[in-house]
Amino acid sequence: MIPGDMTSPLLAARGVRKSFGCKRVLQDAALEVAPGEAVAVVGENGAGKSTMLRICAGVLRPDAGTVTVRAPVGYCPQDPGVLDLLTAEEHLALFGAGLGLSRHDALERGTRLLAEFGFPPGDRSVVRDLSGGTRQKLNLALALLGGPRILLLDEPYQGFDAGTYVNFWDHVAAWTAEGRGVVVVTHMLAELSRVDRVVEVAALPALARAGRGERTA
Amino acid sequence: MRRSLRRATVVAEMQARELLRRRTAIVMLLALPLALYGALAGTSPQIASAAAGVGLGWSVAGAALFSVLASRRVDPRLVLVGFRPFELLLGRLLFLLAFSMVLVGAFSALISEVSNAAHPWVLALGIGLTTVVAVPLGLALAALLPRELEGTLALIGVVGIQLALPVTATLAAFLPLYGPLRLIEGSLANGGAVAVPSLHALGFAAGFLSLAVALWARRVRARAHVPVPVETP
Repeated sequence: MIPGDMTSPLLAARGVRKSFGCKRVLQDAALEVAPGEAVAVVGENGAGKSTMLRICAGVLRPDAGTVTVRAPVGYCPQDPGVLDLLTAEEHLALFGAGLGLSRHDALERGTRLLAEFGFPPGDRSVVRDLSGGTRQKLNLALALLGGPRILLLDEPYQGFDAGTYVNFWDHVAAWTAEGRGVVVVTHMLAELSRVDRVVEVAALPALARAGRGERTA
Repeated sequence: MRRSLRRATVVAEMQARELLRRRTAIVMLLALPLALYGALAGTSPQIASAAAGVGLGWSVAGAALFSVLASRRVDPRLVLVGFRPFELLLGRLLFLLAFSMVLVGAFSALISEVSNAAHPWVLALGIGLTTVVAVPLGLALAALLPRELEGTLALIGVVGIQLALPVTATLAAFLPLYGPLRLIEGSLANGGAVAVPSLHALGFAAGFLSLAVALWARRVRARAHVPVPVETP
């Protein structure tokens, strides 16, 4: 169990508004995740799920609204944010340096995480030569490298084989049992029973582009 | 500061690993200035040497431009895990300058020998300052125009104008490689002024670097989080 306040939300986003050019994507959107809670974010393509997660992670500025975070955030983007010509180990060393980890600690911790997701042990291929699923395992391990209490995962299982996919949802359960707050953007409605709450991001009407529903399951 | 330098060193190391895996790109980086020098060898030594200098600047600025563009999706994640934007650019700057110095040594020796430079050290200074300006130029263009096509076209524009204008033209003094080209041309004749062209080059380098840091920081910095004290797990 990770120590810390178990009552206040780890992350709370309120009144978030975002437009790209003249197209409004989010209007008055909200998202909260508490310690030990798994939240699924669902919605149709282009509804703004990934945009909301990027804003919550802090890699995209909203036009309006606030995001309050009480703990370090681990963010796994949908499009693997990795470098084509570096190996997995080199990524661990690079991200570890940012986290203030020694190279030894980063490699030890990262190798353990990669092994948990079934990354081929000792694979020294550069990312460009990895399969999509294997690349995604690295993407996920990098999000977890710093041991964050908040995990924001944008369809992190893309390309996973069936075993790794089931394993992923077991990991979600284990992370929440440790007191982490986990947000997963997903299209896999069959797995919604494995989360505590479902938040639906509804597409804005083409003309009005106003009003955004939040449904809590 | 030591912490920032340590992080920047890791970025520099990874940049080196990436570039060293691009063998064709390394050959092209060498071939471009060599081709320009060779193509103009039949004109005057000043023109050929200046073209080689511009070509080297072009190569190095291109490498800097693409080092940033290749990382543009990763940099926000790196900032999220704790890197400061300037540490990312500093790492790339450190590696590219170190890499450039190898090219500077090789091209200085070659031009000095083939074109009979009267002042070899001034020639080396001119070629060295070409890369000192070109690396920040590439970084700044990438931060200003973070798309491959737009950034490349802008670089071709800057270098093309620089190549087309003789160093004696009035407008040439407002171009980034004016100082280094003055030094290169002077090194093959009477030597000429050293301090003013050097300061001109350093001024452009500092300006480009400041622009790159300011713009890149805006693009990749994590933002809009309400500052709540962070609990350490």
